[in-house]
This record gives sequence, structure tokens and C-alpha cells, in this order.
Amino acid sequence: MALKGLKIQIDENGVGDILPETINDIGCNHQNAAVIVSTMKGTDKMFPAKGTNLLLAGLRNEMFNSISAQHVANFAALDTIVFCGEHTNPTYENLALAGLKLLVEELTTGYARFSAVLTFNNGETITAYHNIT
Amino acid sequence: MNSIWKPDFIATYFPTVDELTVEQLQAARANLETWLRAGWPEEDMQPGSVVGDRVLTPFAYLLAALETSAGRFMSDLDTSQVAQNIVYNCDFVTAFLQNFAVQDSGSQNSTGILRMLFSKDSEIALNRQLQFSINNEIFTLDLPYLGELWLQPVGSVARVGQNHVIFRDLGNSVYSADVRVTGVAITPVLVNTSATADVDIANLINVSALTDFDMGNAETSLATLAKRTRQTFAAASLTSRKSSVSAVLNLFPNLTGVSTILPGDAIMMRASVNALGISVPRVDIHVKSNQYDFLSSVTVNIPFVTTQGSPETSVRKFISKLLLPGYPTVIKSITAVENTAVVITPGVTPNAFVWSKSLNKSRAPLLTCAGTAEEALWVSFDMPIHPITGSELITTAVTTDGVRYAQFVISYYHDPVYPGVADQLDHPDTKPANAEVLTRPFIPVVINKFHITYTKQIGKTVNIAGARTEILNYLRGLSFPSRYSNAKIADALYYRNAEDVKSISVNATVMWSAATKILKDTTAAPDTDYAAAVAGAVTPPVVYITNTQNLDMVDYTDPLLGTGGETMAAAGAANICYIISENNITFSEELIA
Repeated sequence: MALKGLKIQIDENGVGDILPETINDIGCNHQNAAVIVSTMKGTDKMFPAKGTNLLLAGLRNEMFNSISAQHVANFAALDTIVFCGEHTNPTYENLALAGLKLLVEELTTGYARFSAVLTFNNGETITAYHNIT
Repeated sequence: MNSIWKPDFIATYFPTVDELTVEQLQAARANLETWLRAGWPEEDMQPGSVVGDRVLTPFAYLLAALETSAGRFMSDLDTSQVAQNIVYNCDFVTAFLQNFAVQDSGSQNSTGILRMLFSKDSEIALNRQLQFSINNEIFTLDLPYLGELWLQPVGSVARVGQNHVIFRDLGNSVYSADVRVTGVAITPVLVNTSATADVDIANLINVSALTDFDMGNAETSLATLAKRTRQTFAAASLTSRKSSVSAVLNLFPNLTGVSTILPGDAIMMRASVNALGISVPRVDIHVKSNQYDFLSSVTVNIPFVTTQGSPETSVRKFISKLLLPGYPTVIKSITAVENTAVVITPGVTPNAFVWSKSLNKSRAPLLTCAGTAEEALWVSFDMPIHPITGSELITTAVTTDGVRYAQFVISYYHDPVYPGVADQLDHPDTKPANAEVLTRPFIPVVINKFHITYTKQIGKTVNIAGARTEILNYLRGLSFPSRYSNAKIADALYYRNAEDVKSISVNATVMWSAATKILKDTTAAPDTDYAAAVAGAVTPPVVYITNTQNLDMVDYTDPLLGTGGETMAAAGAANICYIISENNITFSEELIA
């Protein structure tokens, strides 16, 4: 039995349309984590804790250098791990997100690029990139 | 064709999205997810997933809204909620309550007593559709039985099972009949407000309100209807203590006190009357309106009887049967019209008595008939004599028949609403099949003195008038199951700046009947054989109350029950009320620094 979901287009423009493709297992949890990192905290009435302050910090110019950007990214990673941990489908506990590192790759005015290293309970690791404009 | 409800469920019952709480939404989402997983175990519904965020979350909102609206719909079906004015769909609730035959009806109307004065003592039939105009509003007769209302001459035998009122002779060729009327009153009908009938009635002199009318419930709200629905369910009949109270209040919502005494209760006296040893359940229902202490004054001619019997024996007393409007509970005074300084107080003035005799010994023997239609009353007293000169203080007139008499004003307390209530509860449609019900007024405890000693700080002002009014209203409003409490008296004074209440002294008497002498069934009445009446009468027990604790704890049953001296007196918290004049509430003040 596999965890199945619909794929969303996520690229340098952010979270986009739903694609006519499916994703499976850790692909689902990887995508969910990306959505949560990109969601501004407090915008979902049902889950007030869902999301991070990453976008908000960018808008407030709180990421003015790589150190401050990394500081914000660390908290965003922590918020995502905690939230995902609280809302994991218990049937697929082995696929749950176990760790997330967000590392500042590039920071210019109005643009930040992070690399994300995701680890799962089954030991698998994925490295991906995340852009904030 | 059956009409089908087409409820606009979203408009009437759905909450707005903002009304849904996070807890409701999360619970709905979790329940929905658990339910869906049974069918789609592999589907990713976690927050952040497409199905989770775009499908499950909106449906969780819908589910939470449905649960809330279902709760509201169930609330509309719950009469206890509606009775608290919590209504979401008025049209639906109105239609729903009609299933219980509860709707705006005449019993919510204003009701009151009209006194009709006639110049002739003759039988008159009044059409039940007779209308009276009072303040330009229409009132009609409130009659317990089918058919017309018979006004019958003084001393007539009542028409059993028919609407009837027997004239009372008010003297000077004026005869009164008190009739109960009902209607919709926009303007309050106050005592002495005149009324006009819509048809000419022979010999009618005047019609006016005997007392202030009860306003009724001008607008029957859904909450009121719901309360009545609940009462209807609790009050199918007069056969249990609680259902009796509910049933009576359902019929007469303006009563301020209803109490039921059942066999087995210490103060149920009538159950002990059982000549054949056959047990017939008996129920005493004590009722009280907000006019239970209505003070009426009526002028009557009382014959001066010089001799009685054959051979003639000297009597020399004023003696008369009392035919007063309403059923007296306490005779306050008898004042000579010719000489108002002559005031006779039965029970206080030597040899002045009011006599009581039951008209139906099997139904309401001895004191159990007090204040009801089953009680006949007589009055007797000596010719007032000047203490020094020994001359008669009243000059008597002589009728064409040669009978000496004098006019007196009799002042007495009665509840003008009581006769109508008793008539209704005696109606065959209301009476329970398996029990014998007697509707009675509450037994009055007349408070002659209610003195409060309080302290106040120098410089403060205590609003005595306000405290007096509050205490008066409190005592007048008391009836079972509410019971007297000193704390209420203290509160009335604390609220008006008193520092403390040091003491409350009281002097009160239980008035078992308007009478001071009780005639047994076999005893002659005083207007036929005064000496035999004196010899055969029993005296009601004298119960004084001299401390406030006993106001609450009146507990008396006739110790002579079953003996020749029995009176069947019984009083307890469940059948007493208090009569007090505002002037009898007095205060003493002590200053403290």
C-alpha cells in the first residue's frame, strides 16, 4: 500500500497549478513540506500553526544578510517539521518527515534561494531548492 | 393535499463561516478524514496535500456547518430551548407547537370581574354572547358551562350544572351580581371603570369593574407557547400534586399561588371523613390571585331579633344570614351606618360572632368549607349600649312586616377571582374522574404587627417608604412553595442604607374562617334558634404567631379530630398566605457612630 497524491507545480515562481500527475510515498511528504514552508503562517483558519514566517520575513526585509536569512530559515524549517509531525498520517509513519534543513544559497535584493535537505523516517534523503521572490 | 416544508436550511440554520471555531473545524476535518480513510486509505489527505487542502478542508467547513445547523434545528424541536426564547426558525416552531394544540387562545386574554347592579330582585337570563364595552374594548362573559348565564333572586337554590350567579341584596333595593368576563385589553381596566352592555337588560342600573383586571398576556410569544406546551405535557389532569398545579396555572396563568394537598398530607382533613370506610381520593387545591386580599364594603340590613321560638324566649340581638358578594375569608369590621362610632369586630367585641356552617358536610365539613361556595355565614351581635347611660346607641327602623332592623357596613377580605376559578375546576370536563376536588382559598394569616428594629450610621438616610413597600409586596407575594425568610426583610433594609437589622417582631393570627363559631351539621342556625346555636357550636382554635420563625413554620392540625369538639382546622406552609396592611409594617431606628 502506497501513499498517493496529486502533483503540484512548484518552481522558481512558487506553488502553482495542480498537475495531471500523481506522486507517491515520500514524494507526497516532500511536496507537503514544500507547501508548508511556502505558506504564510496564520493564513489557514483551520490550522493556525500551518506555515512559516519565511515569506513574511522577506517582505519585511528581515533577511538583510545571509546570517539573518539563515536565522529565519532555521525557524521556518523547525515550524515545518513540528507541523508535519503533528499531522502525519499514522498509517505511513515510516514515510514521515524526520528532518529538514534550509540553507541559504543565494540572497540578493528581492530574491532568496534556499536548498532544502529533507530526511524521512525510512532513512531516505532528498535535496531540493526553494526560491523566494 | 399535504403541504411539504421547504425550509431554506442555509438561510435559517447555517452559521456563517466566521461563526465556526477552530476546534469545530479541526474536529470536523479529523472525523471526515477518519471516515474517508476507510474508503480511500492511500489518498494523501494531510495538510499541505492537494486533497487535504482543496477537498477535505472545504468539506470539513461544510460538515461543521451542518453539525451546527442540525443542532439548531434540534433546538427548535426542544421546547425547553424555545421557552428560553432561543428560536432559529419562527415559522417552523409556530407550526411545530400547533401539533400540541398550543396556540394563542382566550386563556391569554385579560380577565376580570364586573359588578352588575340591578334595581329588582328577579330572575334574568343573560345571553352568553352578551358583550360589554370597557374603555372601548369588547369583553364577553367567561362561563364554565354551555348555555346562558342565569341571574337568580336572593336566596335561590343554585342551578347545578348551569351558569348562575345569585343576587346579593345590597340594601336600598339594589341587588348585585358579580360576573367574570374576558377580552383583549389594550388599556388596563382599573377598579370602578364603567362598562356598558351591547343590549338593554331589564332593571340594570350600573356595571363597573369590581377590581383591576388581569391584563393577561397581550402577545403570545413563541417562548410562552413553548412553556405552555411543556406545562400541557406535565398537566394532563388534576390527579397528582405537580400536574394539578400545572393544570390550574395552565387554565389561569394569572394566579399567583396554587398548592395541592393530597391524601396522606398532614394538613389534608377531608380525607379523614370516610363514613363507609371507602376511600375516595380527595384533593384540596388552594388558589390565590394577586387580589386575594381585596377589601370590599357592603351595606346590609340586619334584623334586630327580640324573641325566638315557641314558647318565645328573649334574644335581643342583631342576627342575619350573610349574603355577601364573593366568598369572605376574613370579616374585618361591621360599622353602623347611622353611628359610625359603633364598630363591631367579631371575635373581639363581646358576644359578636360570625357563624359558619357547611352546606355540604360530606364534601367540605366544618372548617374545610371556609371561604368556599359550600360555606354559609351568619352574623350576630348585641345591641350596642352606651357604657354609662345604658341607652341603645343605634336606632332601629321597622319594615312593613314589622321587623326591626338597622343598616351596617360590613368590610371583609375576599378574592374576587376565586369564584371563577372554583367554577372552572368544578366543571365536569376539568374534574378528574377518580378524585373529588375542592378548590379553596389559601388560609390567611393576618399580620397585625410587623415591627423591624434596625441600625443606621449617623448621617445616612434610610428609605423607609421604599423598604415598607418592598416588604409588603414580599409578604403579599408569598405562597407555597415560597416560604417566609428574615433574610428578605434584612435585604430590603440593607439595600436602603440600613447598617443592620437587630430584630423583627410580629403579631399575627391564623384566620381559619371568616367565622368565629362553627356550626355542626345538626346544629340550628342562630337566626332560627340562637340558644341552640351557641350550645352546639364549636370555636375554631386560636393560633397566634409571635415570632417570625413561626410565620414560616405554621404547622397545626386539629388535635380534637374525631371527637365532638373537632373543627378540622389544619394549616401548614402549603396552605397559608399572609394578609397585612401597609400601616402595620413599622420601624424603629437606632443610630450608631
